[in-house]
Amino acid sequence: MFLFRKFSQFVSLEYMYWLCTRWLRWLIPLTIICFVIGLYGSLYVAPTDYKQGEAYRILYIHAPAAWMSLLVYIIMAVTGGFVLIWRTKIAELIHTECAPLGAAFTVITLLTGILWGKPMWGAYWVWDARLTSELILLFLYLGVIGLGSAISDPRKSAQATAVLSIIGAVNIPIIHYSVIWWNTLHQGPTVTRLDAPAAHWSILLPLLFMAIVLKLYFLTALLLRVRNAIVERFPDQQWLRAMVRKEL
Amino acid sequence: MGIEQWLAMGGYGWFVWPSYAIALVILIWGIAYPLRVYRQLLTALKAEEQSR
Repeated sequence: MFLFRKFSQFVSLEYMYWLCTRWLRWLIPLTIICFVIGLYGSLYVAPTDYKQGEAYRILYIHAPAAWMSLLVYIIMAVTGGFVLIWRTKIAELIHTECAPLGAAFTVITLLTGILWGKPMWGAYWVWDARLTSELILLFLYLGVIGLGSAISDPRKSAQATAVLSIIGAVNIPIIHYSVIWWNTLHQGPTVTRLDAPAAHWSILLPLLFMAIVLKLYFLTALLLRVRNAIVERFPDQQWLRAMVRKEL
Repeated sequence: MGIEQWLAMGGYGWFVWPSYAIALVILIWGIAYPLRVYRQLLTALKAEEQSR
């Protein structure tokens, strides 16, 4: 927290742009390579589940995407707090660019869940606590995107979406604990149980790897979007113009 | 394991493959679209500088 505050206060847009460009040079290929390895692990290497057959392989994309949908929301709400307290531009950029990525992860979670639910539960959709609260999460993301684009001044827009995202953060513990608080059709936590995880390592390892891959992916996509936002929102900066002129 | 058997996914192919296809399309778009926007932004800036 303290570090991020210092970072966002003293790092200039120029340095941030340079950081994005430098990191993206290796982040994009690394993400692609890890993604291919992750797909190989989850679609081929991991053994067949004795109860669910091959359908459980959907969970290798479903569960990591679901974790990301929560993590991205937390990052969006926390940087939203920075926007309100310290009003730094870097925090504004990260806060604003989180919303579409979080919405994408939520859509993946819901659609893959639907495709898993049909063969395993016999229904594409049920209105149980986990599914409903995840759907509300999607509406929260869409609300943040909509509110943000409705206000033309980017600083005021970021402040408004910051308030909305902090209020909406109440949904995050509801999603996480929904399978414990209510009697849901959705299964309870497998990996983050207090005792040992309830899955064999040969099934668990590809899952954890995919979770890391999606985090890498998020970092890549976020830096790409932040870099675009810097150019789009502040096109008249001297260093940017000098860089463009050099490439002419 | 043969390729056909693998593609069948034990009878769940119609659920497994669309799941991965949807996820891949969304994730690839999430990288490709901002890359395209970036190129467009820089092209616009270059055109502006040239006309100056």
